Amino acid sequence: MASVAEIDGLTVPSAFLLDTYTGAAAAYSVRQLKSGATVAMRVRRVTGAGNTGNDDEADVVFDTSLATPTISLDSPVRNFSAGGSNATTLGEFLNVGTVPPYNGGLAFSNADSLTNTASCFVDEWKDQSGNANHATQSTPASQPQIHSGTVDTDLITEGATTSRPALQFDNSSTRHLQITSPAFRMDIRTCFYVFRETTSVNFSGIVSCADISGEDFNRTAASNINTGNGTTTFGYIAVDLSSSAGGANKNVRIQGTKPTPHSLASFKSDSTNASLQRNNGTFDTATHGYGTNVTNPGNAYVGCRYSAGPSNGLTGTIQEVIIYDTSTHQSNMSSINNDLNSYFGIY
Amino acid sequence: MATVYLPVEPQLGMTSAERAEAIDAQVWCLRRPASLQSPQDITKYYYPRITHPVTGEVAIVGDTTEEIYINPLVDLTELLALLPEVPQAEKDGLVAYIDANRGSSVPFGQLIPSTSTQLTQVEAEALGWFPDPIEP
Repeated sequence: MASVAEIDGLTVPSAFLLDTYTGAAAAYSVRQLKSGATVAMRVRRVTGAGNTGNDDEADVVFDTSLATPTISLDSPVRNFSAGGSNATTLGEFLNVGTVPPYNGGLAFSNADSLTNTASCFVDEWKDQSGNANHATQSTPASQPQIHSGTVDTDLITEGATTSRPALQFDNSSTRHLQITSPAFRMDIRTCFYVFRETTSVNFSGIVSCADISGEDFNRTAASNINTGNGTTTFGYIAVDLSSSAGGANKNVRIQGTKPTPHSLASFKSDSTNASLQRNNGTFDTATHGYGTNVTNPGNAYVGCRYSAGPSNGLTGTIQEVIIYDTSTHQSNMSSINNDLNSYFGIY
Repeated sequence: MATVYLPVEPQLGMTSAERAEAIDAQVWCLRRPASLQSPQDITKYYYPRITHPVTGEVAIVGDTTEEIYINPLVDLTELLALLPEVPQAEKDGLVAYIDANRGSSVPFGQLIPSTSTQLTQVEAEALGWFPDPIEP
């Protein structure tokens, strides 16, 4: 939310979303969500084997020339790999060529004498909450992608319904990002996920939290969102599947047809119940049976499930993930949903 | 694509996980040698790794047909030091093969030592590397 408001004739920036709704445990987005959270992600460019600059990395800063600071080809880049770079923008870092409307349609210069246009992958999606729960991926084949490597082409976007940029995931190589040992509470959550599934993969994960035994659906965090089974259901959430904890298998699910939906899944839980809604609709609720103040002893994942290892990767895009491990903003969920929908144009 | 599972035994005072990570990092160094890397680089490994749910052993999940670019600046010293079980003659052969292909690409399958256990997907499943899927 970087729109401007007029106060007594003066234009002042309005607060970012997380400035208004404070206390997020983790937050990842293609747009800036909090004052001071200026770096969106660290990326790796792939120009082809043997080419200069192949596998070089850089931090991508939100483009503040936009009404809402967002990643774009005009985003400043910095903090380069060893050897440095002459690029000042992401477009130059990738040598993308001419991509209207940037710079009035002028070409992004080939600052590093690359031999072709580089594709671009996300090493690290920065946590904007201030808690340094960055989501990382150190293996190249598993990294989500933000530029195809096609000359004269803009960043990957979510789809036809919006021009907003997006991180593209692919189940064929289980692209995903890992949040290492976050101290999330498992019992109380308020979460928001913006994503699109482009190819149906049963139970592909959006966000999963593994416990110490490595089973995401066995004594797991109360905010595992996946895309459901086949084409008849959408949006499961697994809660308290722990036989060891004495709980019966219980799911919250959203029933609905899912022809490649651009979706906002919102989740809330308290000490007793877990509830899930899609696109600001009706909440589906189940009892989760967790105790209180349970923290997650394992890792969390964006873009896949976890079953002994990352599995059931999403084939589609993710644009924003916001996780609160409190109930503070559960009364504000509709307002937060509206903010996300206003920006991403989901429903 | 031909997925191969390469369980890594504990050696050199390292656990299976530690040694697998070290070897995986050296495979990445074939393409991007340490001399080109930055401490700020996030990408450090070539292949994913999985952990056996019972034994805790770690396997590198490679692709025998994947063409791995051999950077001209590659230095095999650390990789060879991580493979004490590999006969010297085979190490010499690997060095010669890499030297002959600096600046070009080689299939990963050609780099796997003869001493390494190689499991197909079916074999890995039979040996319990993947627990039964739990559907929600």
